[in-house]
Amino acid sequence: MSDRRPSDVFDSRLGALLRTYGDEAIGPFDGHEIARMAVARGAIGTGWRRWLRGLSLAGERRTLVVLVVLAVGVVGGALLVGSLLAEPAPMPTYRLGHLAYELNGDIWIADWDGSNAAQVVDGTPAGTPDGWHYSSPQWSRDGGTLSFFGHDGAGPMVFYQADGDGRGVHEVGRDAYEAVPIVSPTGGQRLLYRFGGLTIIDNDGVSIDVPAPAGFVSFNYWVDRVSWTPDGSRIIAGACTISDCKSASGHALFSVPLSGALPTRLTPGDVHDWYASVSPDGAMVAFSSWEGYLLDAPLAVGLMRIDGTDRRIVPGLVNINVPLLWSPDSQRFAVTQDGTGVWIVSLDPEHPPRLLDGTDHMIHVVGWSPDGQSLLVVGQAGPGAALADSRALWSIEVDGDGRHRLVTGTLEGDWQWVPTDALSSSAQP
Amino acid sequence: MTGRLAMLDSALTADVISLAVGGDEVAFTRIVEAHHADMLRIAYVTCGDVDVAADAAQAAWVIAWRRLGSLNDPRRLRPWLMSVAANEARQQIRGRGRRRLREISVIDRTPASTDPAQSSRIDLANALATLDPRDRALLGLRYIAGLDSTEVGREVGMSPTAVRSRLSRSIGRLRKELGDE
Repeated sequence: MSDRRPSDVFDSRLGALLRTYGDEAIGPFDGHEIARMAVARGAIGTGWRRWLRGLSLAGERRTLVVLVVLAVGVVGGALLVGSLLAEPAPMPTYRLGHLAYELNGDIWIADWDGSNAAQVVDGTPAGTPDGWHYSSPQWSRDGGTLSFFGHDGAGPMVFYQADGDGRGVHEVGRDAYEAVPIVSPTGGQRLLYRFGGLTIIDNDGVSIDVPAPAGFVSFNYWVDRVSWTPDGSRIIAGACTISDCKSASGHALFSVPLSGALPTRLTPGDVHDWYASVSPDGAMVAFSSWEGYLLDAPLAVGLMRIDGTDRRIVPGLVNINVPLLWSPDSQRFAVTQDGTGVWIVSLDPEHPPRLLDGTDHMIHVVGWSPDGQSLLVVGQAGPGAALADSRALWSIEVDGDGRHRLVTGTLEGDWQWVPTDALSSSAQP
Repeated sequence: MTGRLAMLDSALTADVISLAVGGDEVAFTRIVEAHHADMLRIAYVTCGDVDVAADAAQAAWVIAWRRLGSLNDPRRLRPWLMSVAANEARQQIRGRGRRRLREISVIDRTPASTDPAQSSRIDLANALATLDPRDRALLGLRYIAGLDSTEVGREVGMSPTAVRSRLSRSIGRLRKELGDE
């Protein structure tokens, strides 16, 4: 690739600069006094009430739960719930397609079982300056094209596309960027953030600015919180009423037609509803819902119809990690939860969220197999393995107990091995 | 994670955390003493004000005391504490109506210092002022806390790729502002 730039030595000394700068805030402090004040101020049980709000219980039940929680303890209760929800299921059989992933700045494709791995592009080939990085491979919905991105951390982001088998890599555009774009279901468009809003760019370089809804400053600029509908006609995106989208106001989710028509509000915006994920059949939206910011409140999972009706919070599942990934049949989705592992959430309210056994070392879900029987999950190399040492890509049977470690990567600094997407639905043998 | 930080985490065993969760103030004090300095640094990088950073770190410890029991994995203690400090710094900025670092920095209006170290500090402060507090928080989590992009992403609710992209953009902007191109 001709756009590689010299190695950025600035990055290597930035840490020292920031630490020196941060030292200005450091003076003598009394750890015991700080701890004592924290204990005194923290004695009021607002933290517990926030946790309980996250359970989405009615007031009467909340009171009852307070008593229960005080009796058995939060941690013990959570572990008990997790163990009760775990359930074994019979072993399925299936046939699978291919996967694409990012490894140390390179793009690779492989068969589902990790075999026949082939490098699509080399981020730092021998004899070239270090620093060029390819990322975020994304298949088109039909598996016919593979899109990914390249950048050196300073110049514009370059958009690339290849055939579904990884051949024929060519540049389809470039732009300044705020976050990794999301490729449309057709593979022909990219949604990216520019200062002030979202822009869609097609392979011919034609761009369309997505208008912000009336009364809202802009859409959230972490574009990976946006989801395309399966037909590519609209996106589901979060927006807020102030420019920096902080906790002073909530996030509302909007359905935004790409025809230029006005967005339609889907959620009230009194809390942070974001990270929308549209089901493959286009009927439902899963999203994360936050009453506060970061750790002020638990991150819960919400569900609603595509038109915003029937909004509800999935009970009993908090502190989850995005993304929320739908199964191909749109009947359930997968999500990881800190400390417990991978959960399967069914649309059927008769089936409560189910924790997959033995996934406590899993970090986040990457994708479903085309037949919906297995999950592709990034996790530690094994239970108890040091997180900083290595990570692996796992195939996990959703309704069985089979699991296979596909690829293991060694981490070096920040540019670690992170498979990002996905499975080609048309590449099944 | 750097070796120094790894040593800190290894010193803070799960037993210490368990004791603190159980209400042992001595154990909690040990956690405070191990992490308070870096929480101050990250809060300061995020907000650019020493007093605000101190308030943010103290507020973060209140949250830590309340919610330490929800921490299932002791290895997440440090990333969690650092992200709480960064977030509290952002909250403090909002609470005081100081939404931008440049609005609370007066030192950048002074004539250029003849002390190279002081000049570098002013340059860095001004360069940081061009970034959103959220970006400054990400820089602090990455370069002061020593977290990798997956750890940062898990704490702030972003994908590792998105974290890397935002960091890359911030680094590029800092380099430009500091004339390092």
